[in-house]
Amino acid sequence: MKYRQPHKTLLLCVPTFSSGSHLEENVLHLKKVYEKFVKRVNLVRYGTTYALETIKIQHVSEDAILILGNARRHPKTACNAPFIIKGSKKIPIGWLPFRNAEDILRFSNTLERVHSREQDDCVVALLSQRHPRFTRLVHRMEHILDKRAVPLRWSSDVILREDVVNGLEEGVGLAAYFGHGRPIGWVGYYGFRAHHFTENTREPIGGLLSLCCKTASRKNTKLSFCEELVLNQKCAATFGAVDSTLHTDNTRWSVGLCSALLKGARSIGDLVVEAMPQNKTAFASYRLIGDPLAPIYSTSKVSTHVQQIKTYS
Amino acid sequence: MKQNILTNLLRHFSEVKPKMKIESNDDRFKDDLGVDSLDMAEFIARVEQDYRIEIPDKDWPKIATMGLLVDYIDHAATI
Repeated sequence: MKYRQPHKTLLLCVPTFSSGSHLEENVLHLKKVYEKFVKRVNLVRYGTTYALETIKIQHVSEDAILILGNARRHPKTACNAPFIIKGSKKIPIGWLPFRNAEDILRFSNTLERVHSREQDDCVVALLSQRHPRFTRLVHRMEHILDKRAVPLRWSSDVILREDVVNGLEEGVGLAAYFGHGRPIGWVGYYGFRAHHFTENTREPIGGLLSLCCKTASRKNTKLSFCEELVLNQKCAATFGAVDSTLHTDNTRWSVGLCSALLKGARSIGDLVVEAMPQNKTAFASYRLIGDPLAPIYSTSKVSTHVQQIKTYS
Repeated sequence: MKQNILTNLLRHFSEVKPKMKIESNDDRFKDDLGVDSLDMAEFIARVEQDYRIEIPDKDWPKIATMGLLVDYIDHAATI
């Protein structure tokens, strides 16, 4: 089924570039790409910096916000949460750091690939570190999602990292990892880093949720794991923490995710906003990197392929 | 009101621990029923999600039984 998001609107917040520059050209290209898939894109400019409060007051009748900014800016300071509240509405905010014009162009290409795919099945790759605390969590999620989605329990105790990469690169719509995390990647799968994906990824992942500590943090690393995955065209959107997180909070996330998926969330922004726990500690550390409207459904072909990937359960 | 909350909580509990029966609302989750911290975390998370309330981790000792949890939610819902 071709499911687009013609009802969605996006606020694209970008720095002011000189006209005719590569950066400007690529921003306009990004806007054009979005316009193929959503109802309306509102482009707003900011000077040297932006204030979320100002954006909130002056704009935001849209369903999602994407802020582009220089990659020197840390995700921690780019936004203070993965959403803003306007009235009773929670609006997801994505942050896209760019190092050069090429990054924006590559992100546009990822968008085009992800949004133009058929969206038939809710295939969810459930990833975790090999520890009862985490494997049990994904086991529960598999059980809860079984009737309405295609959950794939790919915890570290039943699958090799290489097979996880193979599976994800088929173009899985959504993946969620639970376990320990570091700015450079996941602790599970005997260390999972951005470079473990193949150089020319076959198909990017729609949304990847990294429900663990610090995978959007830049401590002792140039770009965080979450940022690298988006800029290297591995995912349209990632969701990760800029600080340490608590397991109890991530358990809340897991329950919220199941509930949101069962209610029919179809984009990463909708999913995050719907699944969000009530307590501030559970969401304040998290950031959404990349496309807040990234679709989380996969094609039926992907669904068939990934279910054939060998696990050792 | 409290009866509705209790019925709903028992439903959530049975989804988390399908084989466990609560005989009395005064049974302590951990000491009498043997619910471990992971199941407790999932149970609390489900309740929070359903009632759209926050039960801070520091309050968990205050909701050691089903009866106490019903009171806690009833109180939170009236605030």
